[in-house]
Amino acid sequence: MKQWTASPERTKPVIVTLADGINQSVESIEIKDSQCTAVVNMDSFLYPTLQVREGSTLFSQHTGYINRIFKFLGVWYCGNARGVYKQSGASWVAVYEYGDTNNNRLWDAAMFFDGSKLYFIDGSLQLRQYDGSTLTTLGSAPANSAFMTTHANRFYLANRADNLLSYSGLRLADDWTSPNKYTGTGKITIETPDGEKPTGLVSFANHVILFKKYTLHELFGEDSTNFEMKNPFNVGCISDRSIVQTTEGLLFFLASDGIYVYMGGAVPTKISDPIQNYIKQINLTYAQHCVSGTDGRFVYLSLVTGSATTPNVTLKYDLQRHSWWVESYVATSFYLDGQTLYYGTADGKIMKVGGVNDSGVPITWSIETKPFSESDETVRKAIHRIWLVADIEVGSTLSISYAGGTESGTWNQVYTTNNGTGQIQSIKIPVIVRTPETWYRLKINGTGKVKIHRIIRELSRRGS
Amino acid sequence: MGQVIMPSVQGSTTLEEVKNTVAIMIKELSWLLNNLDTRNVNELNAEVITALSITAEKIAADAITAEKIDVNELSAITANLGHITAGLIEAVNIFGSYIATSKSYPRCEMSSTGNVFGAFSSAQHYIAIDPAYAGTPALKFYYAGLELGRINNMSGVMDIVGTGGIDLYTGSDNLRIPSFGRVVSATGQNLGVELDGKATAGISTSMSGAANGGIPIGTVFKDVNGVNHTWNGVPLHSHAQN
Repeated sequence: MKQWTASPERTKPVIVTLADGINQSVESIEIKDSQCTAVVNMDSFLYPTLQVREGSTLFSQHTGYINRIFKFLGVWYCGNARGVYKQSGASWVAVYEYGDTNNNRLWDAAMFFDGSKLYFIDGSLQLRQYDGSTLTTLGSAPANSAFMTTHANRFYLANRADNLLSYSGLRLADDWTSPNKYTGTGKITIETPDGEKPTGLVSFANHVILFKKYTLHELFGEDSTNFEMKNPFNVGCISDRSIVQTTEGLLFFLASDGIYVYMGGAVPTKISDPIQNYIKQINLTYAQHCVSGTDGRFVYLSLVTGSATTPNVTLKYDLQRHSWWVESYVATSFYLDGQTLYYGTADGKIMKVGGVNDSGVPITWSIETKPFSESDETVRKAIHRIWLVADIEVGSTLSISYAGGTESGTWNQVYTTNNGTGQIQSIKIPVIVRTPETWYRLKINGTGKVKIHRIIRELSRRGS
Repeated sequence: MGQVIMPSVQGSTTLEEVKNTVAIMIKELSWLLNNLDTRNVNELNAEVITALSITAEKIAADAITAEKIDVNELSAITANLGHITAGLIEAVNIFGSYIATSKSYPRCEMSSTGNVFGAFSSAQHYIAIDPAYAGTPALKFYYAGLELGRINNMSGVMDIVGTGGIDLYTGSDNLRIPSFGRVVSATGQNLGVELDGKATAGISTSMSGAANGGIPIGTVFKDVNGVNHTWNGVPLHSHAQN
């Protein structure tokens, strides 16, 4: 940023990009100029260009609260509040179905070894095995299992009611009784003084990791002769569904105080301070419904906040730029198929991410900048001109407003265009705004596909 | 301890990644050093093994060969040897509570209890030596589980007892003794009957034998003194039988 010069220069240009995401970790005047205080449906995929997020289309319509999506043997499956279903043409066929609907029926599913068998549980249903046509109950598996993972040729199960981590026989997902000390089964007790029970289970960085609300436990060893559960970190997880691994070897999970990233060695690092206002609103009673997913560039996170009982806000984290963004849709489950992200919704939709609009509807977007003072809070400023270097697609709209002060206040729209050109252009917005205070904020909003490269503000000291 | 996977330092491009790599190495190496096993040790010198710490469960079946055992006498092994299969046993003294020539019949048995020696054609048909039949050894004969005969010296003389009789086979002529009163030859001669037809030893014969000796009764003889004696003949008399 260009500083005010000592000479009595009347105006100066201030150039900023806006692609560093939302930041709620400190007072708004302290965040970077390139960060924002509020944003909807924009992201940093083309950093440093700020752009409207990708759109989505309806992939399939099912019913209820879709809390699990996955593919098995090339066929789409989903779990909702009633059962587990597989796609058959345009319809969904029940693999297992209850007689009632219960939103707390959160499905966990995994394939074992060569991927020829599907296993699923929901916290009360006995472990089921499905080969694509025949459903089998594995009666010897621990009852009421809620979490599952596979690691080093074994199947691991845990539930919400006790401190046991059960493991299957070597390469035998249906063997939960063999006593052989090398190839057999067993249970590992993971007790913690806080009395908390397991909240998540994942295989990561060559270890099985069992989470409790406030602790992370890593399993070392490979059979009963040397299994040892270690508790390296007092960071826990409040939702098994929030645990997500990225291709870069990072493990993201939602703890009671924020989102952490674990690389397998050093202490997990909290990365959610920029969205702490959302984190503080998490409804811990229904925190197990919070869910994450990734498309390789962003980690998506849907939170249950306020009095909601299922996810009601979706955010995403740029793995490259470490910035946070807020989405307008609410996803209740995620699945990455190749390079395409799919997400489920609470009303039975399975959406496919891609395109420039949401099922044909232009995406409504907005961003609010920090309160600018140009590093001098001793004088009031006047905005003479604003240049917006942007690429507004044909049919898209863009408006610019300003407001004085550091928060609230009335937004005064100073520019709007109802139709872009599809070309990068420098839009000169001739306004003369005399801010009544030393602080002023900008809001840029619109609909449709827009890329904002930078904003140039021409300012002057009032009275100079 | 099994496979240990160390992180690749080459992939570490930031300070955070280097710190993470070090942290992974610390925890993996700590685990490794506390859980070493054969997959993590190339060679181990036995000198570092604590004396008397190798227990039987650590030794695999068939692992110890005879050449690895150095004892002058197997009596150094004081444990119950259990079930032993041997091709040849040569010994100066063998003591055992039960020794048999076979697990099935026929067989001979030696036992430290009951009958010390027996020869069995079956469990019911056998002969046995009872070391203490009324205080002296006896040879007993069993048929169908019942003792049918016995040879013993309990009374200081040789006793041959046959319950239900004794048959003596002499080859050319046989003798059966069903009872004292019946000793029967192979031709059916009954000793009792035969003896019944003989004089009883010690019993005097009946009175008989009166005779005149060739001198008529009443003949008078004078002795050298001139005394007369009248001849009455030989009177009735009996003889004691031997």
